[in-house]
Amino acid sequence: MTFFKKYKWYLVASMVITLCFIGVALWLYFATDNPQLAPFRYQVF
Amino acid sequence: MLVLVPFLVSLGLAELALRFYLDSHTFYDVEMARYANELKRRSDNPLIGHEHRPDRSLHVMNVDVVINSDGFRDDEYSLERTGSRRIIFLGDSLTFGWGVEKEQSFEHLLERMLDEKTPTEIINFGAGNYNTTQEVSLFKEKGLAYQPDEVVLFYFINDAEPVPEKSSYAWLAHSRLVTFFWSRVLELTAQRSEAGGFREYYANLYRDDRPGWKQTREALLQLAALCRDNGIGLKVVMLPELHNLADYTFSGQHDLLGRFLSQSGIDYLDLAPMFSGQKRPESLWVARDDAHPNAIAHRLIAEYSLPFISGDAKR
Repeated sequence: MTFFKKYKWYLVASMVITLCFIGVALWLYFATDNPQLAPFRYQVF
Repeated sequence: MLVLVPFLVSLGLAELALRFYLDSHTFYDVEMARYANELKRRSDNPLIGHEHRPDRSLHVMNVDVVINSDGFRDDEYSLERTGSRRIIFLGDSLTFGWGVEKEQSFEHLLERMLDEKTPTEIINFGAGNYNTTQEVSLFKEKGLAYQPDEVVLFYFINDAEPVPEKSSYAWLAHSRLVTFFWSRVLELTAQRSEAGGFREYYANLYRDDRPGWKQTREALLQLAALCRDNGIGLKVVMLPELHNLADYTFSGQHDLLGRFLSQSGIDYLDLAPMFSGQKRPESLWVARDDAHPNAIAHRLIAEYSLPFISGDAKR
């Protein structure tokens, strides 16, 4: 219990970041689930 | 700083989860990155840029790819001639047979069809992401030694790209997660703006001021001269871009190349008009996110180009 009290904001912040990451990943996945529109690429970067 | 730790841990877990997911699913850009990282190496010849690693194999884009000892996706061929007619196919990922088994590729099908009439061997010099300059440079470096009767160059709309230089961020492509994310961002850009899409990108390659198009024409002339000097027949087959076939998007660019080939005395065949009856182009794709030709399209390419290629190979 002391641990949770001591690191409460740390845990909240890390959970928010992780949820944002998962949210962006899912949004990107579904937003681009379409027939290929970008040109063929040798290098993504 | 401590907040970043769980984020980094979640990134690691996401990378693992994605790798697990990709054991049974494919994403085009991730597969292409695997192909580049595991089957390619930097070439000593800057005009070739990158080349296949000899004697490698990889299961990529749902098919097995085996590279022979000379760096080609083909059987082993000796430099010495047998009694068969010998043809070299030059091209990019379409000729390589990206996403189809070797036996389904138009190179293999044409070899079988031609062999029924006259003993014929076709050597597949196709390599993913090559442009015309790279294909001609590869032929100069390795092809002449095979003493072919004929060369057939399979041309695709993006072959007028300049020779790519390896990006300093290429190491990032070892991560499936980063590759996936960045490729999705690029796809999103293509969705939201014409400039990021394939239509404008490919069409712009053929502007007079673009270096890739100039290099392409120079490479074709060089190949024509090389073949003429060595008594080798040369033909060019233009492959269709498989997004819109009924009202072909790149007919202007094909006409431009056709005029150049005619003026240069190079025999060519444009396959795009032969595909104009295809009402559902996506049925010819390897995957929803990959417009490379699938096995059906490879068979059509082989059937449509057979009369042109079976013509008169010089001996």
